[in-house]
Amino acid sequence: MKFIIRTIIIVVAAHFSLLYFPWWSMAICAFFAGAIIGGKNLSTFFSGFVGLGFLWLIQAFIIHNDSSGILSNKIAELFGLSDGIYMVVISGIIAALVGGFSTLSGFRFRRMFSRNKSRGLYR
Amino acid sequence: MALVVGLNNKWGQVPPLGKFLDPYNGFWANSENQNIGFEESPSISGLNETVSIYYDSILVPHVYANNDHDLYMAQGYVTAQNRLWQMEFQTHASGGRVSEIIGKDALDFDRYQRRNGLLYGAEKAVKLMAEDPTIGPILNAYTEGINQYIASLEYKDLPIEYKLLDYKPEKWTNLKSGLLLKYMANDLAGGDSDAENTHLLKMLGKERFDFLFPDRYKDFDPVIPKSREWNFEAETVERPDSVEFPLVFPDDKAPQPDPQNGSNNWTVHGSKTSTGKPMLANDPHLSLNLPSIWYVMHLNSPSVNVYGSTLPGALGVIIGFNDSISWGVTNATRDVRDWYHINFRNEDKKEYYYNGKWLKTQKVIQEFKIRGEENYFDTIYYTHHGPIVYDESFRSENSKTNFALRWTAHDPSNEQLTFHLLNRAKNYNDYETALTHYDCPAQNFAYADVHGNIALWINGKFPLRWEEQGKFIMDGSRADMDWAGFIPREHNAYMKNPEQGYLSSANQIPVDSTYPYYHYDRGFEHYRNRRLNQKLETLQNITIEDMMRLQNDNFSLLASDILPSILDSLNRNIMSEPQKIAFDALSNWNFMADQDAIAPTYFEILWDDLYRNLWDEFYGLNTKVRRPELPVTVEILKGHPGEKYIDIQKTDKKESITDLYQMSFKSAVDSVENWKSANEKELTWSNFKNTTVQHLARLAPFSTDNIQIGGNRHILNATSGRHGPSWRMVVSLEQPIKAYGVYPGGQSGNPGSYYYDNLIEPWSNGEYYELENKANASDLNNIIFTQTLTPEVK
Repeated sequence: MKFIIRTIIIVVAAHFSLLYFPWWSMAICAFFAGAIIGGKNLSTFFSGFVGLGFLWLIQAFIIHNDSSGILSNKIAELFGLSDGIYMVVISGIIAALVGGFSTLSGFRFRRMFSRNKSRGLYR
Repeated sequence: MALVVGLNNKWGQVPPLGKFLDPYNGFWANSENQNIGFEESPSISGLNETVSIYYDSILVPHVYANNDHDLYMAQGYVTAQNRLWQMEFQTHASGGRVSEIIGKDALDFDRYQRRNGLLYGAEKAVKLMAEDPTIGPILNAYTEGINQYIASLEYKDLPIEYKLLDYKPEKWTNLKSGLLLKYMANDLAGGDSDAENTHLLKMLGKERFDFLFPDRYKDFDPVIPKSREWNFEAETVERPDSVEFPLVFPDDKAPQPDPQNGSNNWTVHGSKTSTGKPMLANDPHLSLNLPSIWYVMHLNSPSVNVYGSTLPGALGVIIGFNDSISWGVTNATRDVRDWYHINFRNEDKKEYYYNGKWLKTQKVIQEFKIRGEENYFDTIYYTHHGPIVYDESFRSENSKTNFALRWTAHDPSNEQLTFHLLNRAKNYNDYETALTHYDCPAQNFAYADVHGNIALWINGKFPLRWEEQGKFIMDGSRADMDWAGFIPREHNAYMKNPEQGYLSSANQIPVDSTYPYYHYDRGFEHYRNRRLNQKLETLQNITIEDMMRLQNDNFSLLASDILPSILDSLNRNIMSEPQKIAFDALSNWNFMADQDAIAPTYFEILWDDLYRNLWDEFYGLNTKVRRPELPVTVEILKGHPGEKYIDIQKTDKKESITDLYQMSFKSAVDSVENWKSANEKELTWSNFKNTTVQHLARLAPFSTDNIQIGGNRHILNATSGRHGPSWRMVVSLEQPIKAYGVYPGGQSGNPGSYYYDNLIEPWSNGEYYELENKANASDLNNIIFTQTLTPEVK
């Protein structure tokens, strides 16, 4: 449940943030989602991975499709690839990696914080 | 964290991936296709009143403003909106700043740009333009319009090239407009052969040099018809008694502009047209690039209603028409660059010897920013002639010789005023007045008006020279080697309403030998003009379609001149099968270099090979020389069988012309067979020629290759592999004026837009679009987008 909520929050927050801010703002969204909503390592990582990955994948695919690949096909060729659809996939992978690691970083940050606190209690 | 930083930075050739691939802001945001992403009503500070812009179906903007200030502000804004990256890149190239974008590989190019004096000339030109009461204010408005657009941009909105190369546009300045004009001056008047000629003079001696490199060719057909009489008292300049050209040279020359840069224009009197009114045609031949060198606009204000092609970065329309007149330009090919050998007093280069005295040099240190490296500093010394381009630190490292350049493009000039006045010209007098402000690059300005007049002026600032002055490198210490002045403007050659009923120019020799001023160029065109005049002479009742057909005419006068004698020397009976096919194709050829023909391919290779074999003595030398031009080549092949160059040096045999023909024919057939086995495409002229319109940064996916079109060098349809008609315009001076145009590119500079290259195919098919300069916006047809620039409310 937490996984789904976290993922949705990441997608929604990143979407709106990207409308106004540079691309790395989505990493901040993912970081905070990881930090605020607790869970497990794997679950947080995949929230960011799946959330941002699909966000970029879908957005890129819509543009690729709507524009008949007019630019994505050319950029793909510059990257040595045969079709713009690969640019959709690469965009998705890049966002997924950024999302996964950002959420995980947020989660670890929270844990570091809470562990310090608990250590203090037992001392 | 490291991942995010890593994806935000450029790695070698790879753009910053995170930033670049972001579907919201990265390259994806540039995928427009047929969408038009312009802001509908941007508010612009400094605008006096609202400006309305209507984009038609090929995205030509029709700009309606209530005053000239607003009009040129809108021109700047709209041009930047479509062509910002190109505008900045071209002016960076002109100003020697490409290293800032792509790194040290461009440093040598950049150093030459500065040494060649493009920035130096632009600074002087901009000063003059800024002081001009007409041009100054509108140039400021134009610059401000561009800057308003730049200021509105976020990363997301940047042209794709900025995202790929990871940099940002800087503010536009008037100087950049000056640099753009010098970029054109260099493209059209930035070549010379003084060093090559000097080498050849040393190698061959004067007599042989004159034979192989004559000032005028047999059967020449000048721009101004031979019937013209020169009824003025010419200024004279005496050739000094003892002219000795110093036989010294730089080690090497910097790359020169493409000698193919040229154009056709012609204008026909009403007595020869179907409408009884004049017609005019123009097609400038330049490197075929994307975004195109031209951006087409219709500019309307209470003072002007002009339509035509503009140069992104320059004010107004450069080639076009208004309600009363039409004009077109071709390059007035003529040497306006001279070189002086300079001797310094000592190593500090503070003084140089001139006219028995030591004169002071001026030292300027130029700074070059290089992407990813330390800045580079280059010292350029200026003499009264001009900048020292070649010296021990630049392409004269071994010979340690110094050469100063005297070039008309360095003198202050205000060509913008000419175009400003032409855009508003109502009659012949207005046209003539407009031309008086034009210096460089000299152009043949063809003219026609609705009152029935036609005219053509060879217009520009030409040095007043004694015979052969400036053909070779000169002694920079002698005062009598300096230019004595300039040909008075009213003595420039022109003609108005000639009896023959037409005037034309195609970069050929300007005048015949009765013209009282010395004029020289290394290579006047000799084929397009003669074909054009032969056609114009015979055509009657000329229609718009006839004019278009002439622009697309593929007849090769060169082939028709030489091919029959080549074929006569071949014996079909002893040929192989492929040779017979080639022989039959060539024998049956009508000399039309049409896209689907095969004969032009054989001829092209055959001719190149023949030319190389004939002039083999001039290849592979340690020194930089040039080879005789085509008319001389043809003359020797047809009429000088004893010429010693016919022998091929590297063979023991003594070749005859027939041997050369047979060898070249054989080699052409072999090359074609090789091409066929290496290519899957069918052997046609267009497949072999592979006409390509290339992106300015040479990115293949942003370029269009293998365009199906005929033509070639020295043919009216001058489309070769990378070069050709960059804008075709035909105007009929009826009332209202009817005009048609097309160019190999598109109005948008965005490779992600449908309008980036949508005109290439119609261009290659010889199709045209109607160009309508309606005085009222409500009469416009096919409007697909409307943009309103509104003054910013403070």
